[in-house]
Amino acid sequence: MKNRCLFLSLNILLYFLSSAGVFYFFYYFFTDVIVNSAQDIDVTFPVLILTILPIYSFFLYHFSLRINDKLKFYKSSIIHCSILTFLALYIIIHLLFAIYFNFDGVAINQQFTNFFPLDFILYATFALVIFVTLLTLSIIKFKKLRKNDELEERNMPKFLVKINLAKKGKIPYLILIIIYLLFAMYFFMQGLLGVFWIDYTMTLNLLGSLIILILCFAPTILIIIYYFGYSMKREEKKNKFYLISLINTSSVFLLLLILYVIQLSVNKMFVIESLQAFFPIDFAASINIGPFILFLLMAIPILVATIIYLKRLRKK
Amino acid sequence: MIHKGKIASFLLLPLLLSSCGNKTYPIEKYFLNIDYIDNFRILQLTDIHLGITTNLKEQEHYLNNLISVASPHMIVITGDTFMNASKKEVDFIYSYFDSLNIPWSIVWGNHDKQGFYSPNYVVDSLSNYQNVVFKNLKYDDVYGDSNYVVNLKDGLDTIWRLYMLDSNSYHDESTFTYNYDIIRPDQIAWYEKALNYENGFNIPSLMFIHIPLPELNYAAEQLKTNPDAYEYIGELKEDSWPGYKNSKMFTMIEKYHSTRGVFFGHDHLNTLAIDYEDVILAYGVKSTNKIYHDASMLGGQIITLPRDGSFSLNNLERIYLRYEE
Repeated sequence: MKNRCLFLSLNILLYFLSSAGVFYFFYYFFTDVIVNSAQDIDVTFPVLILTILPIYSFFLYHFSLRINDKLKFYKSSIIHCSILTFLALYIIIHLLFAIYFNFDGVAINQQFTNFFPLDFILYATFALVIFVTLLTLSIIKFKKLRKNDELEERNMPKFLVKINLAKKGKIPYLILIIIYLLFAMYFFMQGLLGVFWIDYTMTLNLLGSLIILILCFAPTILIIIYYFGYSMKREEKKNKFYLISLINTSSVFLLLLILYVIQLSVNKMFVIESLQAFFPIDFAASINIGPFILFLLMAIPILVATIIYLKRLRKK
Repeated sequence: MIHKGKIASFLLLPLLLSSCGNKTYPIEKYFLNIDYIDNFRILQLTDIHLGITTNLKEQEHYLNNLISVASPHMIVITGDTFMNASKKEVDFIYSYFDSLNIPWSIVWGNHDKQGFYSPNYVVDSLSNYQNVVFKNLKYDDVYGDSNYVVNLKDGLDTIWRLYMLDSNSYHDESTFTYNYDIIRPDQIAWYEKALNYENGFNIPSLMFIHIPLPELNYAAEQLKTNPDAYEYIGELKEDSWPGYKNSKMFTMIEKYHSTRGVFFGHDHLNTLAIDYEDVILAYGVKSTNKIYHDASMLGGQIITLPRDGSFSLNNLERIYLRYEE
C-alpha cells in the first residue's frame, strides 16, 4: 500500500515538474507568437498545441477530483488520457517528419540536441502523457469498478483523499486554484532556470535578485504546505500545523517585503538591470507588474489560510 | 545580549545591497582600431528581433541578399537584435555575421537581454568571435554594456571615429509602467573624455545608439509647420519614442562639433533622417520582418565615410528589399 502511495505521489511530483517546464516554455513561446502578430502561425501552431497539452491535462486532473462517481471518473480519465496521448503523438510525429524532411519554417529551428527548447518539450510531453496514463491506471487498479464505490483511504495518498473540493463543488474556487497553479508552475521554472542564469549582472543587485528568486519558489512551497497540512487526520495536529506554518510563512513574507523596499531605496532599477528575462510580458508591454504579482502570489494564500484558521478557532 | 550571528548578518547587508564595486578604467581601454578604406561603407542594420519562433533559414537568406546588395566594409547593428530568443538564435546570428569576414559591431537595445539566457550571455558570448569589433569592460563606472569607440585608421592616422553607446533599456518612472531609458550622465562624461583622447574632437565621428534622441522629435515638429526648416529624407510613420527625458547628450555633441551623425533604430516604421544643427539624426531601416513592420520598408542603411571627413544626408543610402526578392 505504501509503495502505491509513494508511486502516486511521485507521479504527481514529476507531473508537476514536467508541466511546469512545458508551461514555462508555452508562456515564452506564446509571447513570441503574439508580439509577431502570429505571422508564422502555420508552422508555430503544432508547437503551440503541444505546449497546451500539459495545461489541459492539469485542468483535467483537478476537475476530475470533483467527480463523486468513481466509475465516471475512471472512464473520463481514460478518454481524456487517450485524447492527450493521441494529440501528443500527432505533434511529435509532425515535428519529427518536418525535421527529417528539412521543411522550411520549422518553428523551433530544428534543434534536437540542445537542451532548449524542442527536445525538452518532446521529452516533457512524453513524460507527461506517460505519467498521466500511469496515474489513471494506478487509480483504476486499486479497486474493482463498482458504481458509487468510495475509494478506500488506505490505497490513496492522503492528500488525494482529504481534498474535499469534490464534495464542496466550488467551481470558482477550483478555477482560482488552477490559475494559481499556473502562476506557480511558471515562476517555479523561472526560479529554477534563474539559479543557472546567475552571472555578474545579477550579482550587481544581489539582494534584489535573491529576493525575486525566493519569491519564484514561494508559490510552489505554499502549495506543498497546503497539501501536506490538508492531509493531516487529527484536528489538533492540523490546527498546530496551520498555526506554525502561518507564523513562518507570514514572517518570511514580511522579511522579503522589507528587504525588497530596502533594495528599491538603494537601486529601484534592479529588476531592469538584472532580471529582465524573469518578466518577459512586463518588458514586451512596458508594464511593471511582475514583482507585484510575485508578492501577491505569496500574500493571497497566507491571507486565505489566516481566515480559514480563524474560522476553525471560532468553530472550536 | 545580541547574538553574534545577527551582528554578522547586519554587517553583510550593505555588501548584499551594494554593487560589486565600480572601477574607473583608462579611457584608452575603450578604444578599438580597424583599417579605414576609401569611401568606407558601413551597413547599419537594426531591430532584427530574432526570437524562438524565428525561421532562421529565412532570415539568413534575406540578410545574405541584403548584404550582397550593400557590399559594406563594416556592419553595425543598432540594437534589438533579440527578443524572446534562446542561445540558439544568439549563436546563429553571431556566427553568421562573423562568417562574412568583415568587421561588425553591435550596440544593445531595450529587448536584447529578454531571453532564455543569463542577462549577460549576449555580451559575454561575443568574445568567441574573431571579426566582431566590440568591447565591454566589466564592473566599470560607465553605465551600460556597449560603450566603446572604434577608430578607423589609415596607418597612424585616425580618419573617422565611431562612438558606440548603450542607450539602455527601461526606466520605471511610474509605479506600474516602464518608460524608455536615456543615456546616463556618466556615459555622457565618458563620451566627452573619449572625445578629448588624442584630440578626438578634431576627428570626424559618428555615434550609434538604439533609442533615438529627443532632438529628432523637436526637429520633426518644426518640419510640420515649416517643411523647409531642415533638410531631411525619409518620414515618420509612427510616434518617435525617445527616452523618458532629455539626457542632454545632444548638447554635448553640439559642444564639440565632432560627431557628424547619430544613428539609431527602435521605431520600426520611421526612416526620418534630418540635418539638425549640422548633425545628422537618422533612423536606420528595420532589417527583418519580425515584430511589427512595413514590408515595403525593410532593409538597411549604407553610411559612406569619405576621407575628407565631410558628411551630409548625401552620405546616406537606404536599401529596401522585400522578402520575396
